[in-house]
Amino acid sequence: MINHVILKGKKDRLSIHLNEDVDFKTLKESLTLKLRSAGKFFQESHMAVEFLGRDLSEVEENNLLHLIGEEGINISFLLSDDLPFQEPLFLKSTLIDEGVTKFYKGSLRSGGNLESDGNIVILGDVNPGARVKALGNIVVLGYLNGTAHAGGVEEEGAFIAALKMNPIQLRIGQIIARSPNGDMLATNKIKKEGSLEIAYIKDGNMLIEELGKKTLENMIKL
Amino acid sequence: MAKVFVITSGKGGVGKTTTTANLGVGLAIRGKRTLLIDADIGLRNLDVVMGLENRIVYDLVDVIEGKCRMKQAFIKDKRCENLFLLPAAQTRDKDAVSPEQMKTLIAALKEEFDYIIIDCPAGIERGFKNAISAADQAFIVTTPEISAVRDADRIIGLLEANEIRNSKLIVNRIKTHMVKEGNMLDVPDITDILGIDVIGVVPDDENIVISTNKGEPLIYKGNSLAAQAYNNISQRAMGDDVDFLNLETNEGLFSMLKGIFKR
Repeated sequence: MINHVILKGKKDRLSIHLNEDVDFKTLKESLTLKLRSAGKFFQESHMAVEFLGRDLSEVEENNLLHLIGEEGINISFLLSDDLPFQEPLFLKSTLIDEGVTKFYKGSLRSGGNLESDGNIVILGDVNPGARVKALGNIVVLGYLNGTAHAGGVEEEGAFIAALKMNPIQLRIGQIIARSPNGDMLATNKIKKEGSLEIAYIKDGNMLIEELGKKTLENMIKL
Repeated sequence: MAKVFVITSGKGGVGKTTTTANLGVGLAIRGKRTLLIDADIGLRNLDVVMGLENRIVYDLVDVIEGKCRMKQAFIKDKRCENLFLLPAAQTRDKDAVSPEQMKTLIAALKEEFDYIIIDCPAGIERGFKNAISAADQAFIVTTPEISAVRDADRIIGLLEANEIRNSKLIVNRIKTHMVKEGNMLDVPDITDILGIDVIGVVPDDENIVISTNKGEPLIYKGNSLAAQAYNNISQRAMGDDVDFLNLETNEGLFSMLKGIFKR
């Protein structure tokens, strides 16, 4: 058999080299053959997939992805030639439970802006005037006193957790919760203590609770 | 080689210029050759606070544009041998100077002084970038107001992005009785947010207004609490370890008297 398709396992992805010259139908067939010959190796595995060597239209790409899926490989994301690895194209369904996580070490000060297409973990504080925005979840191992936006535009299954919450505004999906208009002075006196608090959406309302057994049960029942 | 400090705050009106003047005098009367540079081109104030306005012939922009020699633009202080001012131009704006030009200028000045203190304009635009371009260390002035603390936070972030770390905080115009009543942020409330070391706490003092109007920095009259605070900041800037003032002394006396009457 001529090698129209070459599979290469890399550290972080499965690279699929496609022959430029053969017609798409032959290509599909040889890909199927290749994956089957790899046998159980790929079965039920999660991995990043990358196509190389051939320009694919969107239809063709989807076609091949479908084919790979049928062979029992769960695609966690797709890497395309135009995009560097830092900005992978996520498949939406996996975003809230898994995906790339950005770790930020240090505090975000006023005017600071941290954005990620995945999840964000901050080892430090988020000060008033700073903004964190993730398509996935946000975890602040410090004091969240600024603005956090989790779950992109539509994902209400996302959560925001922080060691101590005193945020100016929280957003999860479309739902916005703002700091109660209490005494400005009191809300700006941050006492550096507290336990892990978490904000999540239940029945269309944003709840902010101390992370405990009950909260977890509540979140799982989402 | 001079150490270059920039006095900055983000917000206007918190006391950058007053701090620059008093710190400058504080260092100079301790025998250090000190140069104050007003980087607030177009809105210069430092010359007024120092009482040197009527002596200006050339300014910062003239030096940078080569219209005069560097030394022609320095104004020697009225009272102190070691203190010099390089005033800003009033008829130009911030764009008359670039950060690179400031850097070159200050590099050329470094040999002649022990300390160079740059008075930064309010804001985060060109003037700010000019002022911080050559700084070794920043002193951030804030008042115990939420808006001033927010701006200070932003400034610290911008300084860090420009590789100026180890900034020190000056909390200006604190009112002890208001803090006690819970109506004003206390110093720990501010450091909780900003997370940098405090180099000085200056109490609110009406004498500052008087001294500014006279064009004579308060530190020359060494008895008030604010003057003491500036003296301490100067010593700490030189690397000395000085205990923080007890700003409650007056109140302490008052409550002691009250205690006596209660008996």
